[in-house]
Amino acid sequence: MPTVAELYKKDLDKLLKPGIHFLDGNTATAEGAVTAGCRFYAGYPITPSNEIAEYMSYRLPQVGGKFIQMEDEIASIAAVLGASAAGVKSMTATSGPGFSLMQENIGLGSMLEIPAVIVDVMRAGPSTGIPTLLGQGDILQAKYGSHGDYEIVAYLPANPQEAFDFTIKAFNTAEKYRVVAVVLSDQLVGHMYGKVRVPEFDEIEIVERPKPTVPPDQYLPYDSKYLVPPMAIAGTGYRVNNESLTHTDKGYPTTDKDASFKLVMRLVRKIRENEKEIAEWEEYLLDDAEYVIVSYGSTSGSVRRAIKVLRTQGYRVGLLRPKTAWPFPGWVVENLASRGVQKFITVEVNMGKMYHVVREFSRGVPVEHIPYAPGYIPDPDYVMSNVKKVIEG
Amino acid sequence: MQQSLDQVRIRLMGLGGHGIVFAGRLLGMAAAMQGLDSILTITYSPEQRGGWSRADVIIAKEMVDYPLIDEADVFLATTQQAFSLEFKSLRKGGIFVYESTIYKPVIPNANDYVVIPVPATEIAENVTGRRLMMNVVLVGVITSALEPLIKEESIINAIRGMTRRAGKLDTTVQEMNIKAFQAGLDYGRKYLKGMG
Repeated sequence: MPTVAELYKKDLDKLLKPGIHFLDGNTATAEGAVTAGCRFYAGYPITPSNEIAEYMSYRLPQVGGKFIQMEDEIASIAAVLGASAAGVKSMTATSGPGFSLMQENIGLGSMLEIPAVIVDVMRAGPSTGIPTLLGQGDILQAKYGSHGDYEIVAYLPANPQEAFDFTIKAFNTAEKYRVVAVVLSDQLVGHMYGKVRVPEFDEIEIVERPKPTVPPDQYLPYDSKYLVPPMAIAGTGYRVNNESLTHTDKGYPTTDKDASFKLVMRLVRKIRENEKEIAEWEEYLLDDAEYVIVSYGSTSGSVRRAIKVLRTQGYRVGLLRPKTAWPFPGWVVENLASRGVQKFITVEVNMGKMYHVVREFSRGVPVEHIPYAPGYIPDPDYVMSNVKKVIEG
Repeated sequence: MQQSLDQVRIRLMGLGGHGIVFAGRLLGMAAAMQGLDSILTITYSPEQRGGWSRADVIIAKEMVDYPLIDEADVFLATTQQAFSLEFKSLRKGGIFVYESTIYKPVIPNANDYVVIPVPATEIAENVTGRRLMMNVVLVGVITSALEPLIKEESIINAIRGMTRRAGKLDTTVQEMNIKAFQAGLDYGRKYLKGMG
């Protein structure tokens, strides 16, 4: 796999230098994107994601990229898909209300198989909610927000370091599988400053979308003999056909049973069959845990502290922290359930989102949710007292 | 003074424009450069002018888990308002630093705390000719209380590495900041020695 050092040789002095930095999560996200090769940003500013747009507006021109402020979020994601189809790695950033507006075109991107990255810095909802405060309510929307069958990938950073790292991963996954990849950050991750170590440029691997290997006259834009068909760029001599209707391998609309089923199967199979390669998670004190807390993003820091204290009080609790919401590491939950865990407890800033996903894999082991949605993460005391309530019934 | 703790929680608070966030970034970055972990969270009131600004810094030997502060080991307040709002978050035995040319706080049970009054605006003006460098003077005082957890050269490196939206700080501004910082450090060291 090529690295940043090989791919962006002439730009290396313009990238964020390897070493230790102290950045806010939103800036770390933007720098991660630039390091991954993002050279186009279209967006509509929204709190708490604004720093990403502001930063990219002057950062992208420094590396030869383009920044456009669009009239709204629908246009933003449309422009991102267009730029990516033209061969430039592209992204946008938004928050819940904007993410809702983008859903239709997320379906379009999935159908056209255009790599794109969306950063959703989650805030309190529903509707416009509390712009300046935190929520984690967009977990299910990220996967199920658009109609029809498709798959996306979503990362869950918990600190500025992960905001940087996971944005690079999001670009790599989007390119590798030709899908929309989402970075589900949150207000606290976006605004807190933390230590960010940028690896050496020859240690950062970069994935580029598969390119056609056949001559233009033999090229099929949606060639179903591949799980992820090679993607030709418009203007390079290959016939490019971006068709949102259910289409044949050539990209023509079809109602043919076989062709239709084959296409939809492929759109989901390319992620489902690779879920073990894509999914990431962290296990903390799970080896002997009787009670498994599932938590992610900035909330997981509070849970980790609570677990440290609960352990000193004799409670056998541990943390399962998904780093990807989608694909969800369901087999890890299944294995824990089979091993005899007493209960799963979900702690997230919402009234129960990942809770439903854990239930899907818990094999009858009870799952309880600790609801919390006041615009802040629960503090360790809140987590501890509620976990004790769940354990002691 | 703080070397026995695994984690130091610092709450900096003052008027928007006092450079509270900049001070927090200096402390956080210095810690990160020393191989420690650090987290900075920022809160401010909704006023466009004249509101308060707060920067909470956690510096730890291991990875910071819970990123917010419920209690502070060090509290800096540059205004009466900041003092009134958040003095309660300082733990017993903690360090209280205030800007003594701006206000004179009435501290309840003052003997329970290490209190350091600092005429930071005056020091900044004397040393650099600019009153607005008072935030960096105060970073110097706080550093004197945190030594050797935070080292003098780390803050100086942090000042040199500090970037703004428009790029790095101008070199002459950097040098002024370093002077202001060292003056604060000096003041703090002498003051703490005097308390013996």
